[in-house]
Amino acid sequence: MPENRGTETVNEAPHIDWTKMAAQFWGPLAPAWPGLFNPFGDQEKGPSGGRMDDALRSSAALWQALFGSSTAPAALDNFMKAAQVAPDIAFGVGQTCLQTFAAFQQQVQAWIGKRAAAGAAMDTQDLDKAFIREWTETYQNELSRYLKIPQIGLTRFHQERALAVADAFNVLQVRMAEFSHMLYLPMEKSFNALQAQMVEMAKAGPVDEKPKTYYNLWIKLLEAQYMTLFQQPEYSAVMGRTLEAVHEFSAARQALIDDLLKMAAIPTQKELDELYKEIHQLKKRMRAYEKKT
Amino acid sequence: MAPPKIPVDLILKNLAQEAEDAQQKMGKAADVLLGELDAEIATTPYDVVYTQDRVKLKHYPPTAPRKIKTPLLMIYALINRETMLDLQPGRSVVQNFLDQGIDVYMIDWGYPTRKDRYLEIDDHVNGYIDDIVDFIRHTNKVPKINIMGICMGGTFSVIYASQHPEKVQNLITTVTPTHFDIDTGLLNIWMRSMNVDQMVDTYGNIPGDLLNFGFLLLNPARLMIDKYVGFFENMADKTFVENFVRMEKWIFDSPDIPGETFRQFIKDCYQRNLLIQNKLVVGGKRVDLRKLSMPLLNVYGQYDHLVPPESCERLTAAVGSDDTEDICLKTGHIGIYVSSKTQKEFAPKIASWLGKREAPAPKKKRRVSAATKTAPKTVRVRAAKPAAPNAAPASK
Repeated sequence: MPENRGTETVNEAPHIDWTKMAAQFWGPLAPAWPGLFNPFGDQEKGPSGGRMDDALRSSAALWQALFGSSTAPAALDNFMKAAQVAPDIAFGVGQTCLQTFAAFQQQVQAWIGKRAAAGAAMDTQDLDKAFIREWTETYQNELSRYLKIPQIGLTRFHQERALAVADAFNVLQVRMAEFSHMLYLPMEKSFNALQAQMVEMAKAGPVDEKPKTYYNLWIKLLEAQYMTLFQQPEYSAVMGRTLEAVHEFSAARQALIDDLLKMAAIPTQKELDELYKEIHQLKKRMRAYEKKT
Repeated sequence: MAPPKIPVDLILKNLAQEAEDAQQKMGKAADVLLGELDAEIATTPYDVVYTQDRVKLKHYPPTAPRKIKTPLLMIYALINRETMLDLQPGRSVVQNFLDQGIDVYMIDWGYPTRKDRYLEIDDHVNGYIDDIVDFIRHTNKVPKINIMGICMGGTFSVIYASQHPEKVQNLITTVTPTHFDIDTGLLNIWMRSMNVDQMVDTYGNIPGDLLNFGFLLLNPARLMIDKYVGFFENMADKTFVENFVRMEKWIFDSPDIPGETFRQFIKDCYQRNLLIQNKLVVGGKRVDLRKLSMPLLNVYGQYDHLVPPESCERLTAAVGSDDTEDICLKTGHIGIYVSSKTQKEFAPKIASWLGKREAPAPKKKRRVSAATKTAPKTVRVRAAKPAAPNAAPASK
């Protein structure tokens, strides 16, 4: 229902004023553009100007239909009701978003809390080893699963292969850090042992001034430390895990490369291997026949 | 108690002095490194007399009158290259053997490519080695030849000699692993936990660089640090640098290993130790060491960290031959071949050992003259001679 605001009559549907303004603005412009179809003019006359013309005609027809229906009292009533409910809906959506965000924040804080608790529980004697173990578990339990989310869509297999490479690479970094750390331990222990020996030598009497003496001593200590380390089952286990990570990364990377090669219609490593195997078996059979004859 | 006095100032002063000396050495070292260096390896002349796929057979022309009639075939390992046996003049096993009057052949395994990944131990032993042995036998018109195996090549030689004893006159194994279930070698310990299936499926052929890295890891203190410290200290010595560069050329010249051969060698030998138990199957046939009936000389190094003595010494007791000998030299894995001191004993010993076990000369065919053809026939029956110790056994 129209309201009287002073001398001005204002339609209660604000979009109607806007629509009239738009029509008044664009309407006169259309005839000024030669050859352009005037959607507000007589649609019966004039030839079709092609696909663009047809698109404009159908858009104009839709626009006129919407404009016409929006001015009907029943439609106006529905529009006003929707306008009144809109703020409530927006508020509800906003509240849900905030709650979701708060819940996510809580999860992150809980995760950080867990890490902090684990860090506090770390043995300071073996801090680096504990850190690597914590890093490994964190990646495997918390982060790796995001890379293992099932993919959807036409390119899902390619996406999964790319994510597998990313996952294998991250695991490789962790394992390499673990292996490098293990190889570094004898260095640290040999330096400590050298320092202790130098102190004992100083106590026993005048020490040798030549650096070469201390180098020879250190290299012997280092060699002994490595020999001890290499015979431990823990070293074999770490080396085995590192090699496994290297191989898994290589395999994942090769699978991705094979994908790209297939797209480019280039034979893959696997296809060539199958060929080599057939040739090898044929050659073997031929040799056996030659020896028989 | 007063803290012990470590003369840090004196140590640092000496360090400064040594740094100054090092700087002077660097000047001389630059002259050496930038000048002409004689660092070629495998310089003894040879002919390639046989080729099959990537495998070549080298034959070395004699440099002395031949004292050992039966040719000697040297079979190196698939790891690293056979050029180590001819590292430099004065330290060449090949040259020493030639000087002892031995007719020397050597297998060059070449550089495996991806297409070789399906080759197994059978392809190497009953394929390449058997074809080469037949070639040498036919070329020299001899029924049998002498074989000398080095490291993994020795393992192949043992398998070959067990499956083809009728073609082998004498067998020499050097630093050859035949018993793998030991705890004294790091390789033996590490290989037990190796996931070799995943490794071969990933790589195809096992990369030579990976093997190099693994060997360096056996003793990183000496092989990655001390060795190069020694090099920097002696960089001004031309002879030292030449020898060092030759060794570096050889040690990092690592071909890839065919994947299936590697898989079988690790699983059946290192992990299951089938060879010494006579349970190894090659080419569908069981390798029975008791069929190895020819004379066997087994040489190994007391300080060998790659193939410890425990891995080598059980072979002579496991074979069927009555004529066996173990020699344990006070050296490491490659010391037998590159130490000039060891070589002075090694080559003459082998030549002497082979000389005593030469094949008997073939009987000359009796010519029948015209006069005897018309004379009445008389038949002479001679008493049967006892079998010679190196006669071929009954066929398998």
